[in-house]
Amino acid sequence: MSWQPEVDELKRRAELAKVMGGPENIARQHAGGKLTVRERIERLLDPGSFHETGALTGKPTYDDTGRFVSLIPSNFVLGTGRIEGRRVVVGGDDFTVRGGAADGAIGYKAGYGELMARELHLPIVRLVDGSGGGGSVKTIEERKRTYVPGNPAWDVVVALLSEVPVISACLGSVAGLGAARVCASHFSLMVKDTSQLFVAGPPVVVRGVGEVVTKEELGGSHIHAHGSGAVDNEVESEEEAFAAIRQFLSYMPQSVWQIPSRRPPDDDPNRREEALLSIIPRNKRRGYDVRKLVSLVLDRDSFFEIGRYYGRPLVTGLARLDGYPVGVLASDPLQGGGGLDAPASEKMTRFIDLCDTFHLPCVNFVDQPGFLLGTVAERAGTIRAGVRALAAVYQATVPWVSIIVRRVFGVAGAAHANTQRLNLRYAWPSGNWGSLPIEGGVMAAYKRDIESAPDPEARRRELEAKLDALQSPFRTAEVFGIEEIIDPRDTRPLLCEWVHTAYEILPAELGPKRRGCRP
Amino acid sequence: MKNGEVRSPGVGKVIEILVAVGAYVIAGDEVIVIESMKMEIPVTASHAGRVATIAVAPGDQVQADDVLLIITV
Repeated sequence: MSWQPEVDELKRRAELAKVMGGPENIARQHAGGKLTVRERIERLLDPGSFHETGALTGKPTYDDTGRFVSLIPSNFVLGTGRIEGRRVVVGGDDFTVRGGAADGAIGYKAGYGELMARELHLPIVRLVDGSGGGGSVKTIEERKRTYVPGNPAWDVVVALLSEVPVISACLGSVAGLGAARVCASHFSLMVKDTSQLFVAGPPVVVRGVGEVVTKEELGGSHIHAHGSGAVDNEVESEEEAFAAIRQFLSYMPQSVWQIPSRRPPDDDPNRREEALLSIIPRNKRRGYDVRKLVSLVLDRDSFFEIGRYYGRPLVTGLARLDGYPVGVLASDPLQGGGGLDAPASEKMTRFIDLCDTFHLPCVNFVDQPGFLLGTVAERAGTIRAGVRALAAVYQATVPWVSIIVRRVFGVAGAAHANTQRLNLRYAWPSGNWGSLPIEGGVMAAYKRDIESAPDPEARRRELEAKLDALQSPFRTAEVFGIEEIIDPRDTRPLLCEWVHTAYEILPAELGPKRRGCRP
Repeated sequence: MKNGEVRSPGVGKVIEILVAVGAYVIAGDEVIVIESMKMEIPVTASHAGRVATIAVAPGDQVQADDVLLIITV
């Protein structure tokens, strides 16, 4: 006698799980412009690669004779699957069952998924839609008691950040613990118009602080992928979200114990772009398109920007050089002159921690006028946020190279690399540096001289002209204050040579860093 | 950016106004230049329309999100 009846039962029950919250709830989910959790998983992963864990979990009903009748599946779908052939853990809330609230999850599937990622050294993708494992007040009625909140599995959530890539997609209205899980990631994104993220939703907000707002006003992507920086990227559709997740993962190793994987290069490592010779305007007050600049240097179409609309004076993203993944930092002179403000500093800290944790060599395109100035910047604690970014630079041990394309000023400029290490760098002839810019700096240093002159204004101009003449980068090179000035067109060949060396160093550097990675 | 309003992208000083009241602009047209951290930052129209109000003058200090001019759609 075989176990065939039980195996049949297994299949029948697995089919029940696929019904999710029933046709009506599924139709409602679709009407809201959203996919169901199973459709999401299917679209995210390589076709047919999903292997579910806990498909049998749910709330059963049995008839009077104790025979199993049916089951409302757990509202958390978990398993492993492949993305471009690489195994990942994926877990998502099923909003069609109990609105994704934790009391519908049954057992702790989400926590089990986090443990799978940690112990099997697999990247994890969270598809968050609902409270993401957080509670609902309904549990009070059910349990006839309350409980002291404990953020289940949070130790693992934190530990994962230092060990495997963690990606979260906010795909619905996400509050509380769900929102926290979205933010406890290396890369997060949300879908324009159909997703919102907040500490608590409108009904709780109105009771808490008396503010009457819609979900979208409170936590739409225009808030979190723009001003607040709580979520890295905004995408237009769920399909775009899955494509972005797949692309992000393509630059990442499976864990900190592995080297990021090279792709067959599809671009000439010795490509020298003529446009680089004139991309920096000779007029110091004119900006340029920094994204175009980096694209001319990096492997064609390989730049994947992270956090574009937050901390905008700094551009961060992943890219490839001769097929090898690298982290890229660059200042955008058209955003506040490229001066580091508090949000840009925070963005820099997180990005460097990401690259350092996963051994992604960093290329820093430097054009740094210094921390943002003025009362608003001071009130925002720019210097504190900036010093934290400095700490990230100095704690990083990943291979690092700087291309000084233009300005290096002040404390922020000095943080273009750990200047006490080798500090490998190449300056373009447009290089322009100093502890303070001459304009303004003159007035601070020669105040008495200027004020006592018969014509203070003329004296100031005279001093400025005198110092300006000493600003040629060649004078700095004469004393080895800058090691190399290069033809900008040679940037790509030099970086492609460097990246090979960097990747030869990496095997000796693998494993977790002493510094944990913070969200 | 609210409909009709062109706002300052950051802290700085208005150094040039490139349009006059009544001028017709299209999205992407440079309308004002702000100087910030010694860099000239062109501010562009977010959509097409006629310049109804110019709220600043050259030399004015502005903060992020200050309204610079209003375009009627």
